[in-house]
Amino acid sequence: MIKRILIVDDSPIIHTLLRKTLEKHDFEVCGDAHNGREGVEMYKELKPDLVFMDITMPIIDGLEASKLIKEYDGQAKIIMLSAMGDDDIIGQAEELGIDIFLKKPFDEYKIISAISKMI
Amino acid sequence: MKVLAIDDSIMVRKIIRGAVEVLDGNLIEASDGIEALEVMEEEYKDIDLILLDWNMPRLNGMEVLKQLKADRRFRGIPVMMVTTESERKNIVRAIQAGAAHYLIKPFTIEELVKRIMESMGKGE
Amino acid sequence: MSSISIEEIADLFANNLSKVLRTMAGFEVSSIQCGQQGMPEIEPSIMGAMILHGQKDAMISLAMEDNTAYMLIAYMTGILPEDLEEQDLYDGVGELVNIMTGEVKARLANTPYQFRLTSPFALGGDNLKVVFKKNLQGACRFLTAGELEIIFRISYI
Repeated sequence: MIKRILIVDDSPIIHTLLRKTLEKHDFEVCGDAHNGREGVEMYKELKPDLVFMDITMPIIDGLEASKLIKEYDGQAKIIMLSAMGDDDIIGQAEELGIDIFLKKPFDEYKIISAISKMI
Repeated sequence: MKVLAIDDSIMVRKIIRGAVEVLDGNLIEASDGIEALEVMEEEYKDIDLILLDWNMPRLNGMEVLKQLKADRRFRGIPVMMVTTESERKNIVRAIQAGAAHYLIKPFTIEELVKRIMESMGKGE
Repeated sequence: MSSISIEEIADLFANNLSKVLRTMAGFEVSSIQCGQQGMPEIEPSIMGAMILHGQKDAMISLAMEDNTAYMLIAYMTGILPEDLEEQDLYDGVGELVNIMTGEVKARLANTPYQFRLTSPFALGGDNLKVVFKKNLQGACRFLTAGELEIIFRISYI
């Protein structure tokens, strides 16, 4: 069951919006990472049930970070947060075994239905 | 840390509130220049930074800036202009009138947080 | 500076709006001329507008559906759409017009096209339309970011 969620995104607004929506639906946001490297470190430390991962980020981007997380834990569940124009990257992410993308802007319905697809 | 945001847009004040909360600060709001000067009379002793819009009804940001800098009680509080006004000559005017910092809209919230930290002397 | 057509001025505004939305909301926006193929019917219910005073006076406007305005402002402020009030919507759409206009004003300063801003305002209602007199020069852009759709118009008045 998905309960504890890690958010990896360089935008504080996305953290705020996701956190508010997730908490409303009784999920727990166990960590906020602001770049890919922090995301990988926090994944290892917190072992969340699910990760929301932005694509374009400083230091390590979301694709590279997802790869590292998948290497560490083949069962890791990751939902990628994408903007328009990220189509190339979506193809690459699919090769990593990530098949759920949330296109910005996302609303409550999209967030919750993406999570329900993961279970 | 206490910040006064002077802007006629509710949305901009909410964005600023988000940034100030990231820094664990308190925000006081004023929706135009007249209200801002009233707030200053009451609260100037606690205010560490003023964020000031330019185009506002009743009393615009430039006039507010001049009045703040003409008052010896308020003069020492740093003012950051936060405005869509991006013509060079106007930026120069604001700096000459005593604005310590200048941030042009649109800005990202990260930029705003960083600039607030810098203007409080907590930046790099 | 050589002469600039109203279509070019419309592009200045539309490009700057894209930049504003990218910076403040994280949206990637694309823009096409209105009336082109693939432009869906939308029924705007909120409109932000501003009068520009220059050699010629103009009005600019951004029109969208309420849901679009809620999403835009949520992403700019970090406040959930359901926690926004109606006044936030009208204020936000007006302010968006203001922010979009700032850089265009600076770009056109000291040219024959320079203008002065007025205070932005917002209108609301079902299926809003702006109808100008015939033969007035104007231009229109249709901007999209995912499911969000915005109509920008400029017209000499």
